[in-house]
Amino acid sequence: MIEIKNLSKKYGQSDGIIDVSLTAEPGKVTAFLGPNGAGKSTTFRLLLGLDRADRGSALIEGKPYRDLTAPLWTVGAQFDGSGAHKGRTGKAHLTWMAQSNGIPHSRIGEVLELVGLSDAARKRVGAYSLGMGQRLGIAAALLGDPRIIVLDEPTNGLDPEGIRWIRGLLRTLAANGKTVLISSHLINEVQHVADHIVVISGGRIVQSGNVNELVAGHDDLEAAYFDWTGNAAKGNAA
Amino acid sequence: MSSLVATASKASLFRAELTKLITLRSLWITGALTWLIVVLVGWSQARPVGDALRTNDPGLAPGASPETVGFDWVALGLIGIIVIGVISASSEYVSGQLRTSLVAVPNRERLYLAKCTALTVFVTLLGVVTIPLLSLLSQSGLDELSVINGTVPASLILRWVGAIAFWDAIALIGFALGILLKQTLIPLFALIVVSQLSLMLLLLTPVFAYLPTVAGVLLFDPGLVTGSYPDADLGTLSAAIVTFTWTAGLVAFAGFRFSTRDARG
Repeated sequence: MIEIKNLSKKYGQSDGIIDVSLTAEPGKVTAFLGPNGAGKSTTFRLLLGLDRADRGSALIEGKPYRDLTAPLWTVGAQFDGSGAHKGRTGKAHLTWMAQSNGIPHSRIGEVLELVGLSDAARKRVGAYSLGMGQRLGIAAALLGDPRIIVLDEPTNGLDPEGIRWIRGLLRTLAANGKTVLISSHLINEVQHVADHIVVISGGRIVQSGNVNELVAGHDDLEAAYFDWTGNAAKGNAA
Repeated sequence: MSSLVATASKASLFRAELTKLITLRSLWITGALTWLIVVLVGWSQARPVGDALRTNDPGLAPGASPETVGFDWVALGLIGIIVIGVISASSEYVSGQLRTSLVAVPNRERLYLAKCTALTVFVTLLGVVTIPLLSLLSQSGLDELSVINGTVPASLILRWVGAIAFWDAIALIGFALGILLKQTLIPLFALIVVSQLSLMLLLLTPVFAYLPTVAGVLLFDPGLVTGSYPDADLGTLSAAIVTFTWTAGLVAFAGFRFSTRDARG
């Protein structure tokens, strides 16, 4: 379970996020939808303790992320791309991560196979395509077989087959009782995969709820989205 | 699972950081080149320096003695050590690596400590396989002037320890600057320039003896400094305190910044 309450953060003169609240529950895919620059990644950074919030709280199973010991057993997170140094091999990247959290070495082969990177495990990350980097980031997120998965724009750089694969993966994870929180600016993707959506625009939450209930009264999610976020979002969202 | 979680100890964190270092190609190539160049240059110069010592050649560096032969090449290896120290820090600030590191280890103080420990172990091991070999090869060119007559004198072993400590200190200073500046080029350039020019700076004032790149040399080859600049003789204990203070101060300050600032790579 992820609980974010009244989270605010300013970076210099930029607005950052203001009073963001959301809950992601086990067994569901919760999608954080909004245009580029709306505050999705900022919220994830605060949730994962990478930046400090000015106000509010972000808790994972009742604790701030920074208080988790060996967090990869509880939370798997992936930001845009692999998050790996380009000079290391994919396998070396997962090896240090596993060591840092006491995860058995055997798990590395399992997640590499799961994301379809077994053959590229000994290649340097610098030689990976965008999609392969994305898959490595997802492998890292799944390394500790965590109860909670947080993925920032997981379909970025994936080809159609990869997008189909990630949809299936997310649904499987949720079906297995995991808490899945993803961010996306792709309305169609969210509609395909999410049970619950939280829409952010200009750093503020503008809508939140069950996808089917929220779309009721609109032609589809895209029409609803532009109603909630206003015309200004049209230029950014696809 | 709980027992497995419990194994995510300080030791496993240290092992993870050591894995990070040795799986970074630029680091182990720099380490290998440092070893190769220092040992090769030391070996190739052993005989000519031995001849110069025997004939009291005026071209010999001031302060040179049979026991310190070869130690001037420690400074040559220092360039590689600086590269290793800086890159071990700055490699966190590319390709989103820092985000991943902090997601895996959100306790920043523990992560920072593990990084410092791993770097110190890496550089110490490099020093252990380089500096005694450099010294022994250099002694082999001295023939009857060699200080090694069946056994290695304790004073020579202490010089090895001093030189390795000097490499450790400079690597950690490079690491601290890399963390503070979050990049490679500026700390690399600044440290290499200071390390290579610091003896010349003593021409201006002996105060520059308090630079870590000078005080550190006093730990293993004081004659290299005091042969030309007698006023720069701090004594071994003071030199150790100066080197330690620079290192601990910079490492602590960088650690404070690492722990408190937002993780914008």
